[in-house]
Amino acid sequence: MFFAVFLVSVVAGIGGAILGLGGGIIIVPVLTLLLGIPIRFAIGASIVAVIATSGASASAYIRDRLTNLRIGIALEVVTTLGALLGAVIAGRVSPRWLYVIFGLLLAYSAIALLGRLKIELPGEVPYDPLARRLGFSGEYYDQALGRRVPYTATGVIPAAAMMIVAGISSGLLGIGSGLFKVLAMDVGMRLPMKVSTSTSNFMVGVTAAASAGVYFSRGDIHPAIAAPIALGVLAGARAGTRMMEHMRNTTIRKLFIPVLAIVAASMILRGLSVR
Amino acid sequence: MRDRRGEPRAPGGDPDEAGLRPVVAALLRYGVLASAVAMLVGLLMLLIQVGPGAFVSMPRIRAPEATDLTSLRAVLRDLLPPEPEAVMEAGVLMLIATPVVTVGASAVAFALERDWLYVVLSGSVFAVLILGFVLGRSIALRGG
Repeated sequence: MFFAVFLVSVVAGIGGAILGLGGGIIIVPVLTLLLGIPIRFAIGASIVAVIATSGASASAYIRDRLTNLRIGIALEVVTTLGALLGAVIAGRVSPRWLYVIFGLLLAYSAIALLGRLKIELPGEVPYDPLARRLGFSGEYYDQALGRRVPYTATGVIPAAAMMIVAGISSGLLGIGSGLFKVLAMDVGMRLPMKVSTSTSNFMVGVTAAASAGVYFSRGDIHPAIAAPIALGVLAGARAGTRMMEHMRNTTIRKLFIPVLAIVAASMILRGLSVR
Repeated sequence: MRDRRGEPRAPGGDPDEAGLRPVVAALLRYGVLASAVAMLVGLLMLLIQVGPGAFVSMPRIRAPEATDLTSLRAVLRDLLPPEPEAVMEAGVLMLIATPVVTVGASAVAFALERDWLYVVLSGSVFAVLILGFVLGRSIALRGG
Protein backbone atom coordinates (compact mmCIF):
# COMPACT_ATOMS: atom_id res chain seq x y z
CA MET A 1 0.00 0.00 0.00
CA PHE A 2 2.70 2.44 1.04
CA PHE A 3 4.73 1.70 -2.05
CA ALA A 4 1.69 1.91 -4.34
CA VAL A 5 0.94 5.38 -2.99
CA PHE A 6 4.58 6.35 -3.29
CA LEU A 7 4.75 5.20 -6.93
CA VAL A 8 1.58 7.07 -7.90
CA SER A 9 3.03 10.18 -6.27
CA VAL A 10 6.26 9.86 -8.24
CA VAL A 11 4.24 9.72 -11.48
CA ALA A 12 2.15 12.73 -10.37
CA GLY A 13 5.35 14.64 -9.60
CA ILE A 14 6.90 13.90 -13.01
CA GLY A 15 3.71 14.87 -14.86
CA GLY A 16 3.16 17.98 -12.78
CA ALA A 17 6.72 19.22 -13.27
CA ILE A 18 6.54 18.75 -17.05
CA LEU A 19 3.07 20.21 -17.61
CA GLY A 20 3.00 23.03 -15.04
CA LEU A 21 0.37 21.33 -12.92
CA GLY A 22 0.20 20.48 -9.24
CA GLY A 23 -0.72 16.84 -9.74
CA GLY A 24 -3.93 16.96 -7.70
CA ILE A 25 -5.86 15.61 -10.69
CA ILE A 26 -3.94 12.32 -10.30
CA ILE A 27 -3.61 12.21 -6.49
CA VAL A 28 -7.25 12.81 -5.52
CA PRO A 29 -8.90 10.12 -7.70
CA VAL A 30 -6.23 7.51 -6.92
CA LEU A 31 -6.54 8.05 -3.16
CA THR A 32 -10.33 8.08 -3.11
CA LEU A 33 -11.28 5.59 -5.83
CA LEU A 34 -8.44 3.06 -5.59
CA LEU A 35 -7.46 3.27 -1.93
CA GLY A 36 -10.78 4.25 -0.38
CA ILE A 37 -9.34 7.16 1.56
CA PRO A 38 -12.02 9.71 2.59
CA ILE A 39 -12.22 12.66 0.19
CA ARG A 40 -11.28 15.28 2.81
CA PHE A 41 -7.93 13.60 3.56
CA ALA A 42 -7.38 13.07 -0.16
CA ILE A 43 -7.85 16.79 -0.84
CA GLY A 44 -5.70 17.70 2.18
CA ALA A 45 -2.90 15.45 0.92
CA SER A 46 -3.32 16.79 -2.60
CA ILE A 47 -2.85 20.40 -1.41
CA VAL A 48 0.44 19.35 0.20
CA ALA A 49 1.44 17.44 -2.95
CA VAL A 50 0.77 20.53 -5.11
CA ILE A 51 3.01 22.67 -2.89
CA ALA A 52 5.71 19.97 -2.99
CA THR A 53 5.63 19.63 -6.80
CA SER A 54 5.69 23.39 -7.14
CA GLY A 55 8.59 23.92 -4.73
CA ALA A 56 10.78 21.20 -6.22
CA SER A 57 10.17 22.09 -9.87
CA ALA A 58 10.06 25.89 -9.51
CA SER A 59 13.39 26.06 -7.64
CA ALA A 60 15.05 24.41 -10.67
CA TYR A 61 13.11 26.41 -13.27
CA ILE A 62 13.78 29.71 -11.52
CA ARG A 63 17.50 28.94 -11.35
CA ASP A 64 17.48 28.05 -15.07
CA ARG A 65 15.58 31.27 -15.93
CA LEU A 66 12.55 29.50 -17.38
CA THR A 67 10.10 30.82 -14.81
CA ASN A 68 9.20 34.48 -15.24
CA LEU A 69 8.90 35.68 -11.64
CA ARG A 70 7.29 39.02 -12.47
CA ILE A 71 4.54 37.40 -14.48
CA GLY A 72 4.05 34.79 -11.76
CA ILE A 73 3.82 37.28 -8.91
CA ALA A 74 1.66 39.85 -10.74
CA LEU A 75 -0.85 37.22 -11.83
CA GLU A 76 -0.83 35.62 -8.37
CA VAL A 77 -2.52 38.78 -7.07
CA VAL A 78 -5.74 37.92 -8.92
CA THR A 79 -5.32 34.15 -8.55
CA THR A 80 -4.98 34.13 -4.76
CA LEU A 81 -7.96 36.52 -4.51
CA GLY A 82 -9.91 34.07 -6.69
CA ALA A 83 -8.83 31.17 -4.47
CA LEU A 84 -9.98 33.02 -1.37
CA LEU A 85 -13.28 33.88 -3.06
CA GLY A 86 -13.70 30.22 -4.00
CA ALA A 87 -13.02 29.09 -0.44
CA VAL A 88 -15.50 31.63 0.96
CA ILE A 89 -18.36 30.75 -1.43
CA ALA A 90 -17.70 27.01 -1.03
CA GLY A 91 -20.69 25.53 0.72
CA ARG A 92 -22.95 28.43 -0.35
CA VAL A 93 -23.19 27.51 -4.02
CA SER A 94 -23.63 24.04 -5.44
CA PRO A 95 -20.40 23.15 -7.21
CA ARG A 96 -22.41 21.14 -9.74
CA TRP A 97 -22.84 23.82 -12.37
CA LEU A 98 -19.34 25.12 -11.76
CA TYR A 99 -17.99 21.70 -12.65
CA VAL A 100 -19.98 21.83 -15.90
CA ILE A 101 -19.01 25.43 -16.75
CA PHE A 102 -15.31 24.96 -15.94
CA GLY A 103 -15.34 21.61 -17.74
CA LEU A 104 -16.78 23.24 -20.86
CA LEU A 105 -14.20 26.04 -20.61
CA LEU A 106 -11.40 23.46 -20.51
CA ALA A 107 -12.94 21.48 -23.39
CA TYR A 108 -13.15 24.65 -25.47
CA SER A 109 -9.50 25.43 -24.64
CA ALA A 110 -8.44 21.93 -25.66
CA ILE A 111 -9.92 22.59 -29.10
CA ALA A 112 -8.29 26.03 -29.23
CA LEU A 113 -4.94 24.44 -28.36
CA LEU A 114 -5.25 21.90 -31.19
CA GLY A 115 -4.85 24.81 -33.62
CA ARG A 116 -1.58 25.76 -31.92
CA LEU A 117 -0.19 22.22 -31.91
CA LYS A 118 2.61 22.91 -34.37
CA ILE A 119 3.66 26.31 -33.01
CA GLU A 120 7.10 25.91 -31.39
CA LEU A 121 7.55 29.59 -30.47
CA PRO A 122 5.01 32.41 -30.58
CA GLY A 123 7.21 34.83 -32.55
CA GLU A 124 6.05 38.44 -32.78
CA VAL A 125 2.97 39.16 -30.68
CA PRO A 126 0.62 42.19 -30.74
CA TYR A 127 1.83 45.10 -28.57
CA ASP A 128 0.18 45.31 -25.16
CA PRO A 129 0.92 48.50 -23.16
CA LEU A 130 -0.03 46.78 -19.89
CA ALA A 131 2.46 43.98 -20.55
CA ARG A 132 5.14 46.61 -21.03
CA ARG A 133 4.14 48.58 -17.95
CA LEU A 134 4.36 45.37 -15.87
CA GLY A 135 7.63 44.29 -17.46
CA PHE A 136 6.17 41.06 -18.82
CA SER A 137 9.09 40.06 -21.01
CA GLY A 138 12.21 38.00 -20.73
CA GLU A 139 14.56 35.54 -22.29
CA TYR A 140 15.49 31.93 -21.66
CA TYR A 141 17.96 29.43 -23.09
CA ASP A 142 16.09 26.61 -24.80
CA GLN A 143 18.01 23.36 -24.37
CA ALA A 144 15.95 21.56 -27.02
CA LEU A 145 16.41 24.31 -29.63
CA GLY A 146 19.96 25.12 -28.53
CA ARG A 147 19.44 28.89 -28.56
CA ARG A 148 18.26 31.84 -26.51
CA VAL A 149 14.59 32.71 -26.86
CA PRO A 150 13.43 36.27 -26.10
CA TYR A 151 9.72 36.74 -25.53
CA THR A 152 7.11 39.39 -24.68
CA ALA A 153 3.58 38.91 -23.40
CA THR A 154 0.39 40.20 -24.92
CA GLY A 155 -3.29 40.05 -23.83
CA VAL A 156 -2.72 40.61 -20.12
CA ILE A 157 -6.36 41.47 -19.31
CA PRO A 158 -7.95 38.29 -20.74
CA ALA A 159 -5.17 36.27 -19.11
CA ALA A 160 -5.88 37.91 -15.75
CA ALA A 161 -9.59 37.04 -16.11
CA MET A 162 -8.63 33.43 -16.72
CA MET A 163 -6.37 33.53 -13.66
CA ILE A 164 -9.38 34.50 -11.49
CA VAL A 165 -11.14 31.42 -12.87
CA ALA A 166 -8.01 29.39 -12.01
CA GLY A 167 -8.12 30.69 -8.44
CA ILE A 168 -11.86 30.07 -7.97
CA SER A 169 -11.48 26.60 -9.43
CA SER A 170 -8.70 25.68 -7.02
CA GLY A 171 -10.34 27.28 -3.98
CA LEU A 172 -13.75 25.76 -4.66
CA LEU A 173 -13.13 22.47 -6.43
CA GLY A 174 -9.56 21.82 -5.31
CA ILE A 175 -8.40 21.09 -8.87
CA GLY A 176 -7.81 22.76 -12.20
CA SER A 177 -5.61 25.59 -10.99
CA GLY A 178 -2.54 24.63 -13.05
CA LEU A 179 -4.50 23.82 -16.21
CA PHE A 180 -6.16 27.25 -16.29
CA LYS A 181 -2.87 28.99 -15.51
CA VAL A 182 -0.98 27.33 -18.36
CA LEU A 183 -3.89 28.11 -20.70
CA ALA A 184 -3.97 31.76 -19.62
CA MET A 185 -0.27 32.15 -20.37
CA ASP A 186 -0.05 30.01 -23.50
CA VAL A 187 -3.30 30.94 -25.27
CA GLY A 188 -3.97 34.31 -23.61
CA MET A 189 -0.54 35.89 -23.25
CA ARG A 190 1.14 33.83 -25.97
CA LEU A 191 4.29 33.07 -24.02
CA PRO A 192 6.53 30.17 -25.08
CA MET A 193 4.99 26.94 -23.73
CA LYS A 194 7.95 26.24 -21.41
CA VAL A 195 7.73 29.70 -19.87
CA SER A 196 3.98 29.16 -19.38
CA THR A 197 4.30 25.76 -17.69
CA SER A 198 7.31 26.66 -15.52
CA THR A 199 5.74 29.95 -14.41
CA SER A 200 2.58 27.98 -13.62
CA ASN A 201 4.71 25.55 -11.59
CA PHE A 202 5.82 28.45 -9.41
CA MET A 203 2.29 29.87 -9.13
CA VAL A 204 0.32 26.73 -8.20
CA GLY A 205 2.28 26.35 -4.94
CA VAL A 206 1.43 29.89 -3.90
CA THR A 207 -2.25 29.42 -4.82
CA ALA A 208 -2.41 26.13 -2.90
CA ALA A 209 -0.80 27.76 0.14
CA ALA A 210 -3.66 30.31 0.13
CA SER A 211 -6.19 27.58 0.94
CA ALA A 212 -3.88 25.26 2.92
CA GLY A 213 -4.74 27.06 6.16
CA VAL A 214 -8.38 25.96 5.95
CA TYR A 215 -7.49 22.31 5.44
CA PHE A 216 -4.78 22.27 8.10
CA SER A 217 -7.01 23.90 10.75
CA ARG A 218 -9.79 21.45 9.94
CA GLY A 219 -7.47 18.50 10.59
CA ASP A 220 -7.67 17.32 6.96
CA ILE A 221 -3.92 17.23 6.41
CA HIS A 222 -3.10 13.85 7.89
CA PRO A 223 0.68 13.35 8.20
CA ALA A 224 0.45 9.58 7.63
CA ILE A 225 -1.13 10.24 4.19
CA ALA A 226 0.40 13.58 3.24
CA ALA A 227 4.04 12.87 4.14
CA PRO A 228 4.63 9.75 1.98
CA ILE A 229 2.82 11.41 -0.93
CA ALA A 230 4.84 14.60 -0.57
CA LEU A 231 8.09 12.62 -0.57
CA GLY A 232 7.08 10.67 -3.69
CA VAL A 233 6.00 13.81 -5.49
CA LEU A 234 9.28 15.56 -4.62
CA ALA A 235 11.29 12.70 -6.13
CA GLY A 236 9.09 12.68 -9.24
CA ALA A 237 9.22 16.44 -9.70
CA ARG A 238 13.01 16.45 -9.59
CA ALA A 239 13.12 13.90 -12.39
CA GLY A 240 10.37 15.72 -14.30
CA THR A 241 12.21 19.04 -14.40
CA ARG A 242 15.23 17.42 -16.07
CA MET A 243 13.01 15.79 -18.69
CA MET A 244 11.03 18.97 -19.42
CA GLU A 245 14.05 21.19 -20.05
CA HIS A 246 15.13 18.95 -22.93
CA MET A 247 11.68 18.74 -24.50
CA ARG A 248 10.37 20.80 -27.36
CA ASN A 249 7.54 23.25 -26.72
CA THR A 250 5.39 21.32 -29.20
CA THR A 251 6.03 18.04 -27.33
CA ILE A 252 4.88 19.58 -24.05
CA ARG A 253 1.75 20.91 -25.75
CA LYS A 254 1.05 17.46 -27.22
CA LEU A 255 1.24 15.94 -23.73
CA PHE A 256 -0.85 18.77 -22.27
CA ILE A 257 -3.87 18.46 -24.61
CA PRO A 258 -4.92 14.88 -23.68
CA VAL A 259 -4.65 15.69 -19.96
CA LEU A 260 -6.78 18.77 -20.57
CA ALA A 261 -9.38 16.74 -22.49
CA ILE A 262 -9.57 14.03 -19.79
CA VAL A 263 -9.98 16.54 -16.96
CA ALA A 264 -12.59 18.49 -18.97
CA ALA A 265 -14.61 15.32 -19.61
CA SER A 266 -14.43 14.16 -15.99
CA MET A 267 -15.44 17.61 -14.71
CA ILE A 268 -18.46 17.75 -17.00
CA LEU A 269 -19.46 14.19 -16.08
CA ARG A 270 -19.11 14.92 -12.38
CA GLY A 271 -21.26 18.01 -12.70
CA LEU A 272 -23.97 16.22 -14.67
CA SER A 273 -24.07 13.05 -12.58
CA VAL A 274 -26.99 12.98 -10.18
CA ARG A 275 -25.98 12.88 -6.56
CA MET B 1 19.97 49.28 -17.79
CA ARG B 2 17.20 49.10 -15.23
CA ASP B 3 13.87 50.25 -16.35
CA ARG B 4 11.17 51.28 -13.95
CA ARG B 5 8.97 53.46 -16.08
CA GLY B 6 8.25 51.11 -18.94
CA GLU B 7 11.11 52.32 -21.10
CA PRO B 8 12.29 49.75 -23.61
CA ARG B 9 14.82 47.49 -21.99
CA ALA B 10 18.29 46.81 -23.29
CA PRO B 11 17.95 44.04 -25.87
CA GLY B 12 18.65 40.64 -24.37
CA GLY B 13 18.63 42.04 -20.84
CA ASP B 14 16.85 39.82 -18.37
CA PRO B 15 14.20 42.06 -16.85
CA ASP B 16 16.13 42.90 -13.72
CA GLU B 17 15.45 39.75 -11.80
CA ALA B 18 19.15 39.28 -11.15
CA GLY B 19 18.88 39.89 -7.43
CA LEU B 20 15.55 38.14 -7.02
CA ARG B 21 16.21 34.83 -8.76
CA PRO B 22 18.89 33.34 -6.50
CA VAL B 23 16.95 34.35 -3.36
CA VAL B 24 13.67 32.80 -4.50
CA ALA B 25 15.33 29.67 -5.93
CA ALA B 26 17.35 29.10 -2.73
CA LEU B 27 14.36 29.65 -0.42
CA LEU B 28 12.24 27.16 -2.36
CA ARG B 29 15.09 24.67 -2.53
CA TYR B 30 16.03 24.71 1.13
CA GLY B 31 12.42 24.96 2.34
CA VAL B 32 11.57 21.82 0.36
CA LEU B 33 14.77 20.10 1.50
CA ALA B 34 14.19 20.84 5.21
CA SER B 35 10.60 19.62 5.06
CA ALA B 36 11.63 16.46 3.16
CA VAL B 37 14.23 15.68 5.85
CA ALA B 38 11.63 16.14 8.62
CA MET B 39 9.10 13.92 6.82
CA LEU B 40 11.74 11.23 6.22
CA VAL B 41 12.87 11.31 9.86
CA GLY B 42 9.23 10.98 10.95
CA LEU B 43 8.75 7.96 8.69
CA LEU B 44 11.98 6.37 9.99
CA MET B 45 10.84 6.90 13.59
CA LEU B 46 7.58 5.19 12.72
CA LEU B 47 9.52 2.31 11.22
CA ILE B 48 11.61 1.94 14.37
CA GLN B 49 8.68 2.32 16.79
CA VAL B 50 6.04 0.28 15.01
CA GLY B 51 8.14 -1.88 12.72
CA PRO B 52 7.83 -2.54 8.99
CA GLY B 53 4.16 -3.48 9.52
CA ALA B 54 3.37 0.22 9.70
CA PHE B 55 4.23 0.58 6.02
CA VAL B 56 2.13 -2.36 4.86
CA SER B 57 -1.04 -0.87 6.26
CA MET B 58 -0.11 2.72 5.50
CA PRO B 59 -1.88 4.98 4.80
CA ARG B 60 -4.19 3.24 7.24
CA ILE B 61 -6.94 5.84 7.29
CA ARG B 62 -10.12 3.96 6.59
CA ALA B 63 -11.80 5.22 9.72
CA PRO B 64 -12.48 8.87 8.93
CA GLU B 65 -10.78 10.42 11.92
CA ALA B 66 -9.30 13.87 11.54
CA THR B 67 -5.80 14.42 12.83
CA ASP B 68 -5.70 16.41 16.07
CA LEU B 69 -2.58 18.17 14.81
CA THR B 70 -4.53 21.24 13.74
CA SER B 71 -2.46 24.05 15.20
CA LEU B 72 1.16 25.02 15.46
CA ARG B 73 0.88 24.58 19.22
CA ALA B 74 -0.43 21.02 18.90
CA VAL B 75 2.40 20.07 16.54
CA LEU B 76 5.04 21.65 18.79
CA ARG B 77 3.58 19.95 21.87
CA ASP B 78 3.94 16.52 20.25
CA LEU B 79 7.51 17.26 19.26
CA LEU B 80 8.61 17.05 22.95
CA PRO B 81 9.31 14.16 23.16
CA PRO B 82 9.03 13.70 19.37
CA GLU B 83 6.09 11.65 18.13
CA PRO B 84 6.60 10.31 14.57
CA GLU B 85 3.35 11.86 13.33
CA ALA B 86 4.20 15.26 14.78
CA VAL B 87 7.65 15.19 13.14
CA MET B 88 6.02 14.41 9.77
CA GLU B 89 3.40 17.12 10.30
CA ALA B 90 6.16 19.59 11.17
CA GLY B 91 7.68 18.75 7.78
CA VAL B 92 4.31 19.29 6.12
CA LEU B 93 3.99 22.67 7.85
CA MET B 94 7.45 23.71 6.69
CA LEU B 95 6.40 22.79 3.16
CA ILE B 96 3.23 24.91 3.39
CA ALA B 97 5.21 27.82 4.80
CA THR B 98 7.77 27.68 1.97
CA PRO B 99 5.78 29.54 -0.75
CA VAL B 100 4.52 32.06 1.80
CA VAL B 101 8.05 32.90 2.97
CA THR B 102 9.19 33.02 -0.66
CA VAL B 103 6.56 35.60 -1.62
CA GLY B 104 7.41 37.68 1.45
CA ALA B 105 11.11 37.56 0.62
CA SER B 106 10.47 38.59 -2.99
CA ALA B 107 8.67 41.69 -1.72
CA VAL B 108 11.85 42.55 0.20
CA ALA B 109 14.04 41.77 -2.84
CA PHE B 110 11.92 44.07 -5.05
CA ALA B 111 12.21 46.79 -2.39
CA LEU B 112 16.01 46.48 -2.51
CA GLU B 113 15.78 46.95 -6.29
CA ARG B 114 13.48 49.94 -5.71
CA ASP B 115 10.85 48.39 -7.93
CA TRP B 116 7.87 49.79 -6.03
CA LEU B 117 5.18 48.45 -8.37
CA TYR B 118 6.36 44.92 -7.66
CA VAL B 119 6.80 45.62 -3.95
CA VAL B 120 3.07 46.41 -3.92
CA LEU B 121 2.16 43.38 -6.06
CA SER B 122 4.18 40.81 -4.09
CA GLY B 123 3.17 42.52 -0.83
CA SER B 124 -0.51 42.07 -1.73
CA VAL B 125 -0.02 38.39 -2.56
CA PHE B 126 1.71 37.98 0.81
CA ALA B 127 -1.16 39.79 2.56
CA VAL B 128 -3.77 37.58 0.86
CA LEU B 129 -1.81 34.46 1.90
CA ILE B 130 -1.72 35.58 5.54
CA LEU B 131 -5.41 36.48 5.32
CA GLY B 132 -5.98 32.96 3.97
CA PHE B 133 -4.43 31.43 7.08
CA VAL B 134 -6.38 33.71 9.44
CA LEU B 135 -9.66 33.17 7.55
CA GLY B 136 -8.82 29.47 7.27
CA ARG B 137 -8.66 29.13 11.03
CA SER B 138 -11.91 30.95 11.62
CA ILE B 139 -13.73 29.05 8.84
CA ALA B 140 -12.43 25.76 10.24
CA LEU B 141 -13.28 26.66 13.85
CA ARG B 142 -16.82 27.59 12.80
CA GLY B 143 -17.03 24.04 11.53
CA GLY B 144 -17.47 25.13 7.92
